[in-house]
Order: sequence, then C-alpha cells, then structure tokens
Amino acid sequence: MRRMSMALTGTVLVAAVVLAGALTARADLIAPSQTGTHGPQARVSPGTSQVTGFKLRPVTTPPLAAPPTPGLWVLAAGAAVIVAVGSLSWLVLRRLAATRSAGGPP
Amino acid sequence: MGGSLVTQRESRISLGVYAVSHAAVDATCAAVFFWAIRTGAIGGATAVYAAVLYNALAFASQPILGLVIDRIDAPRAAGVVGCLTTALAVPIVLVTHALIPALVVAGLGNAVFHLGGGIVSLRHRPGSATAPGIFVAPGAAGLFMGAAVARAGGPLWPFALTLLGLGAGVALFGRARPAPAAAALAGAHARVGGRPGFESAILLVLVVVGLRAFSGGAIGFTWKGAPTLAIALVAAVVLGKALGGAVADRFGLRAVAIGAFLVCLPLLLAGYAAPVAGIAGSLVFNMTMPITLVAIARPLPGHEGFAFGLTCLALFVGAMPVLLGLGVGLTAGPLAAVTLAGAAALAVALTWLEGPRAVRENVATVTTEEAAG
Repeated sequence: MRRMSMALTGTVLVAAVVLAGALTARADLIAPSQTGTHGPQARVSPGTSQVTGFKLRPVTTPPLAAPPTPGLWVLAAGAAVIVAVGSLSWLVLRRLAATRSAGGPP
Repeated sequence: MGGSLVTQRESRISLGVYAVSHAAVDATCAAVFFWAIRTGAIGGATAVYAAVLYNALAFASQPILGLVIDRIDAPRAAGVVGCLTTALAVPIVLVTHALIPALVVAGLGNAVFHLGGGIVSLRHRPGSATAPGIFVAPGAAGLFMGAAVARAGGPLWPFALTLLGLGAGVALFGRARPAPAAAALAGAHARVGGRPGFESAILLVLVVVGLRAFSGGAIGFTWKGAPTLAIALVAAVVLGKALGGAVADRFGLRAVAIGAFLVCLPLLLAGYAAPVAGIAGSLVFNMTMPITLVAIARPLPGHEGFAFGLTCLALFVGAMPVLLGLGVGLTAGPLAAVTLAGAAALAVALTWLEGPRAVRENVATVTTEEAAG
C-alpha cells in the first residue's frame, strides 16, 4: 500500500507537470488580455481600397490564421491527466478485486 | 474523524448541510470563472484552457484525492477544507485579477469538498441511492446561479462569505457515519468485488457516466438560451438527480436505470422542437446519475471517496470533447445512438454488479435493519 501511495503521488506530480507545461507553453494565451478578446479577427486594412464600379470599397484582408488549434495542447494535457489517473485507478480497482477474491477485508 | 455515534437524525442534518454547501461551492466556482470572462481577464482560447485546467483539478483529481481521504477517514475535514479553499479563490481573483491561481485553488477546493460530501452521502445509508441523489442534485442549481450572477455583473464577495458560513456549518454538523460500520453493512455487496470481471463492470458503468456527460453537455437544444426555459431545464436536472436515487431505491437500480434511458430518449428527441418534452426528458435522463454512483460505490465499501472520484474522472472524460467544442450541438441521430448504447452498457454492468438474488436480498435486509436502528 505504501508503494501504491508513492506511485499515486508520483502520478499526480507528473500529471500536474504535464498540465502546467502545456499551459506555460501557451502562456501568451494565459496572460490577461488587454482587449478582452482573443482569437482570430477580421481586419480592415486602411488606405488600401480599390475602385470597383462607382463605389469605393475597402479591401478586407482574410481573417488572420487561427492560432494553433487550442484543442490540441489542451487535449494532450487532458489526455495525460486522464491516462495517468485512469491507469492508477484501474490498478487500485484490480488490487481491491484481487484482495477480495483472496478473502481479504473489503 | 467520522465519529462513531452518529444517529440517523444527525446524519440527515449533515446531509442537508452538505447538499446546501454543494450548491454554494459550485456557484462560487462558476462565479469566479464567469467573472473573469465578463471583466475581460480571459477570453477566447484562454477560456478553454482555463476551463480544462479547472475541470482537471476539480474532477480528474478526485480518484486519487478520494483514496487519500478514505485512508485518513476524514470526510468532515474534507468538507470544511473544501469550503474554505473554494472561498479563498474569490479574494485571489478580486485582488490580483489572476484567474489561473484562483481556478487552481477553486478546483482543488471543489474536489476536496465533493469527496467529503460524497462520502457522507454514501455512508448515510449504505447501498441506498437516495442520499447521494440529494447531495449531488443542488450542484447544477449552484452552477447556474453562480454563472448568472457573475454574467449579470453581480458581486463575488457574497459567495465567499456564504462559503465561510457553510464551512462552519459543515464543521459543526457535517458528521459522517463511520467507515467500519458502512463496510459491515455493505458486506454483501463487497462479495461482488471478488467476482471475476468486477473491475470491467465498474469500467462499463464509468463509460456510461462519460457518455452521459458528453451527451448532456453537447445536446443541441436551440431554445436553451431563453432565460425561463433555461431555469426550467436546470430545475429539471436538479429534480431528476434528487428523485432518481429515491425511485431507484424503491424499484431497483437496474429497472430504473434502463427504464429512464428508454423513456428519456423519445422525450429528448421531441425536445429539439418542443421545449417541454426536452425538459421532461432531461429530468428523466438525470435520474440515472445517483444510480451509476451507487452502482460503483456499493461493491467498494470503505472506499466511498475513491468510488465517488471514479465517477468524477469519467465525468471529466465525457466533458473534455464538449469543453474543446467537439460534438457540440448533438443532433438526434447521435443522441439516440449514445443513449441506447448507454442503456445497453448499464444493463450489462448492473446485471453483473448487482449480483445474484441472494446478494440483493441480503443487502436489502441489512439496509432495512440499519434504517430501523
């Protein structure tokens, strides 16, 4: 049981480091926003209009490329947590089942 | 820590204190998060990161924290620490405007509180689903209220003050029935734990919990934005969870679980067009929540915190796709498939976990004797 506790503690630490690492890697997104918004926005480039017929229409640049898919980093971190905690929980469950099959205390 | 002389009345009071505190803890966490969004402290992709971080701490950490709390047998201490830690998130975010530290504190506080309350409810009458249903139900109302207040620009500090008061209430009244007695009372179910494939049956129930979390979060009712209907929907969720346990105790876990899945499906499908059907379907859908919790806790007496934590880990797994925006707006076809798969999986798992008739009857007898005592 002591080894199990150490393994559990180690897993929590590893999972926390993975999660913290993933979040730190995207610190640019974690920093408080000055505008209150993040993500791609359409921008109108001033002074770059073109004449189309009788109307002067501003040229809009395409929306900025989206930042690296937010889901990917978070998915990796979340999956690491799930795998780590899930695996250890599975081991604990198996251990409990084995103890009971052997007639040990519940 | 649990206390050896906890009467049924004291245990009921304790359960009530934990249920109210549950709403307050969840309300505070939601309020902190949505306050940060409203004030512009976070937004866009950052909100996704923050939500995943918070949920990982609040839910995915619970099996491990649950093992620790089971081992030191300190559910009441967990309840108090959970209330106070969650309350601490409010001054952190108000003073520093740093959401991530506040969410870390809130997430851990939430996890520890849930485990304390979960253990108390599962020990209230071991094997029974009524008390766990009563404990978990107010959480949805708390989340809704916290988010609504923060979005409307309401102050955060009342949440912290409320939690301080409720933390004192938990310290005074939040007594848990002792673990050894719980283990003895649920001894018949513990025998199930020795049957081959027991852990696979638990895993199957957890898959159902995950599927339910996914479909519950991703369901694409377009009318959910209307305030009145949103309130009605939350009320249905609360009522469903609270009623599910009591109904399951009356008619049996398996019958109610499978029946609820089959009844809720046509209602949810009709709910895309008719809000009333969707609200009724959500009520029935949520009745399965205490059932899956108790199905896992019954064969693990003495490990209530671990059992409660397992369901929360499954909740996190199911919620991850929704948090990342995957599958949001679930249409009728996938919803039907997920619901039917959940019903089938739960039928198999409960058939295995409930064990032979002798075990069920033994537990029923023990539970009745315990209630009389």
